Amino acid sequence: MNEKISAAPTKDFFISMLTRDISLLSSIIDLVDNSIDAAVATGDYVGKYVEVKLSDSQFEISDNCGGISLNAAENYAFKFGRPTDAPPSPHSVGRFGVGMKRSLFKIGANFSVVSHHSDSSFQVKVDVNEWMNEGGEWTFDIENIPPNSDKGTSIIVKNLHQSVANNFVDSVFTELLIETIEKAHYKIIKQGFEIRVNDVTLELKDIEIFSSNDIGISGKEVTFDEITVTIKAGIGERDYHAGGWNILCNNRLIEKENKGKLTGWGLDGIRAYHPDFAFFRGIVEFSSEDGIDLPWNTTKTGVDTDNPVYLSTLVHMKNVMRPVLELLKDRAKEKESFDKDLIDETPINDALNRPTKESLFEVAIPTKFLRPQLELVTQEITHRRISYNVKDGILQEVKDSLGAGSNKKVGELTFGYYVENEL
Amino acid sequence: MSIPASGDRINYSLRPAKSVERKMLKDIFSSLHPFGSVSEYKYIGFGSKYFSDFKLFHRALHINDMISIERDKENSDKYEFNKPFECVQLELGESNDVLSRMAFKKKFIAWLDYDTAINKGMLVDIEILIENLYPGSIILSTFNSVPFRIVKLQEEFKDEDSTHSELLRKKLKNLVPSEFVPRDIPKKKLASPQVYSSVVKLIFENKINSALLQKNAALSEQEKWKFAQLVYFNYKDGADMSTLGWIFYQNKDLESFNNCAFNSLDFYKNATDPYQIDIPNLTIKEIRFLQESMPLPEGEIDREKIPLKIYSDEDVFSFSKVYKYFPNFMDIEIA
Repeated sequence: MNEKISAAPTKDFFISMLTRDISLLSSIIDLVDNSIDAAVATGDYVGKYVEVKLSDSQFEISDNCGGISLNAAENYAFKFGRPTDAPPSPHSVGRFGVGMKRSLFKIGANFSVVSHHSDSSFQVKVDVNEWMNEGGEWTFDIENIPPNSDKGTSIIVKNLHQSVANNFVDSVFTELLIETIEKAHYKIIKQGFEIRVNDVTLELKDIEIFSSNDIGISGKEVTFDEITVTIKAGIGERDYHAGGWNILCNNRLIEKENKGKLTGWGLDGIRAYHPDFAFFRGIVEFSSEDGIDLPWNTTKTGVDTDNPVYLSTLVHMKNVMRPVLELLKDRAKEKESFDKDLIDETPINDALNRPTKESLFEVAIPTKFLRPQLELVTQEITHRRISYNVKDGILQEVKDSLGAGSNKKVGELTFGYYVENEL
Repeated sequence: MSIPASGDRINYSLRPAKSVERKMLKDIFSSLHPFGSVSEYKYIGFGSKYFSDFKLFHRALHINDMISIERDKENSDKYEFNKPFECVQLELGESNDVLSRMAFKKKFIAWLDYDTAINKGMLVDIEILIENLYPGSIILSTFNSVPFRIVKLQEEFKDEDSTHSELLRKKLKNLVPSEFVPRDIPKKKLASPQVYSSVVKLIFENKINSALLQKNAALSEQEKWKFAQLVYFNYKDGADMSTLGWIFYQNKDLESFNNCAFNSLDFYKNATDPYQIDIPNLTIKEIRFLQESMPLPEGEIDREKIPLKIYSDEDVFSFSKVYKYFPNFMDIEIA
C-alpha cells in the first residue's frame, strides 16, 4: 500500500499553537516594532509616530511610517514564516515572519489592515472564523484602494477575545504597556520617534551613570562576523530594581535589568546579585543588518541562551563587569571602615555623590576603567587577648586576695603583677 | 588569628627544586619568540618579598611589564621596599580581585604560584585570565599536591565504608564546583603525589575546556582558541608541589605555535605523566665530579667512571635531568 497521509496542519491548530507562546503585551509591542521597522526603512525617525488605542470593543494601531509595499505584503507580511530568500531588512527588529499575524490572531477575531505605500495602497480584511472554516485555502484577500497622500499603515482589530477586552479597559495593563514600550524602545524615542498609547506620549527612559574625572565606565566592543556587540557597565544611583544588565538587539530592549546567571551573576567567581550591587548598570547592544543571527527569542522578550554569539558575548560581559563589581565591593568596605572611624577619606563614596550623570548609551568606551582607590586601613594592632582556664578553688583564693570583683579583673591584675616584678 | 604570609615561612631562594623549576620555565619562555619578542610580554606573578621569579625573568628575558600580586595588604610597605626593580608593580589584594580589575591589553605570562591545595579561587583566576587572552599567552598554576590520606578523609566525612577514590571525589567536589571534578578517579596509588596531581590536572583541564568552549562559541574556525600543555612538574622542597602550564593560541597561530618547538626541551610535557624534578643530595665535590660525566652517553651510567659506592642510580639519573639548572653556590643572590 502506497498512500500518502496529509500532515498539513489545520488552521485552528496552527493559530492556537502560534498564539500560545506570546503574551498580549508582547504581541502589541510586536506591532509597534513593525511600525518602527517601516520608519527605519525610510531612514528618518523625526516627525514619525505610531499610535495605539485600546478599548473594550476594538484595538487600533496607526502610523505614518511609510506603509507596506505590495511586494512585501504579497511575499512576507501576510505569509507565515519568512521565506529564506527574502531580502534582509537592514537593522530591523522584525525577522521571524510571524509577528503581525500572530499578534492579530492573539488580539481578536476580525481584523483589517490598511496600507498606503508610495508604490501602492491596499487593504486586507479578515474574519478569522470564516477564514478557518474555508478549510484548505491558506490565502488572504488583498484589495486595492485609492491612494492617500499620508503614507502609513493602520490596523483595526474587532471582535476582541474576552480576556483581551478585559485587559484593554484595565488601567494597570495600560500602564504596564506604556512602561514596557518606554524601556523597549528607549533608543528610538531618543532619536525623535513618537509613540502614543491612549493619547499618552511616551517618555524617554534613560540609563544614567556617574561619569567624571575620577569615575568612568568599563566596556568593550567586539564583532562576530556581521554582528557588532557593544558592552558597557557603569555605576548609577543606588536602586535595587534598576541594577543589572540590559540587553538590546537592533536597538530593541529584550532583557531588562537582569540580575541572574543568564547575564553572569553568580558565575565563575562573580558574586550573585546583592544590594551592594544596586549601583550596577550594564548594557549590551547587539547590532546586525540581518536580525536572524541576533540572540533573541521569537517573542523578543528574552535572550536565546543557546545562541553562540550570546555565549561568546557572555565571556566578555563577565570580563566587563568584574572591575565594576570590584569597585562596588570596595565602596561597601570603604563605608564600613569609615563608619568604624578607621579611615578619614571616602573617595569612592564621594564620587557616587555627585550630580554629574550621563547616559550610559552615550559614554564612549575607555581603554581602562577609571576609579578612585580604596583607602587602606593601616591601624596597628595595639592590644591582644589572652585567655586560659585555672582551677576554681585557687581562682577564688586569688580573687579574695586581690579584692577583685571579676575573673577578668583577676587576669589583668595578675598579668600586671608579673610585668611589674619580672620584666 | 592571622595566617602568616608564606614569605615569612620559607625563603624561596633557598628552595633548590623551585630554583630549578624557575630556570626551566625561563627556557620555555625563551622559546616564545614566534609569537613576538619575549620582552614584550606582561609577567604576572606572586613575588612575595623575594621576587625570585621577577629577578630571573627580568634579567634573562628582559620583561619590563611586571605585576606582583600580594594578598598581605597590611605589610605592603615591606613588599614595596623589597621590590627589586622599578618596573615591578605591586598590586595588593586577593588574586581574584586583582585580576578582575587589571587592564591586560597584551599577551602575558601568568604564574599563579599558590602554596595551597586546589580550590575554587584558582579556577576563577584561570577563568579571568582566559577572558583576557592574547595569542601566545601562558598560564601556569602551582599547587600543593600532597595527597589527601584515606584516614583523614574517613574522619572528615565520618565514613569508613567508601573507597579512597570515592572519598577523594567527595572532597574535591567540596573544594571546586562539582561539574569540574572527573567522574573516573583512579582507584590505585591515590596516596602518591603523581596520581593525585594527575586528578587535579583533569580538574584544571575541565575548567579550561569549558571556558574556551564558551569563548569560542561564535568565533570562526580560524579565530577559535586552543590550548596546549607545556609543563607538568612534580617536585618536593618540603611539601609535594605540582606546576601545570599551558599556552593559548588561536587556530590561525598554529604555525607560530609549531615554530616555538617546545618539544626540543626535554622537560616539555604535553602528556599525562609528570616531569619529576628531584634534587639529589650531593656534596659540592660529588657534584663537580659527576658533572664531568654529563650528559650521560645514551642515557646509560658508566660505572667505571661513576663509582656505585658513591652515587646511587637514582641520584645519577636525577642529577642528569637537572644538572644544567642545578643551583650552584656562585649563584647566591645578593642583589
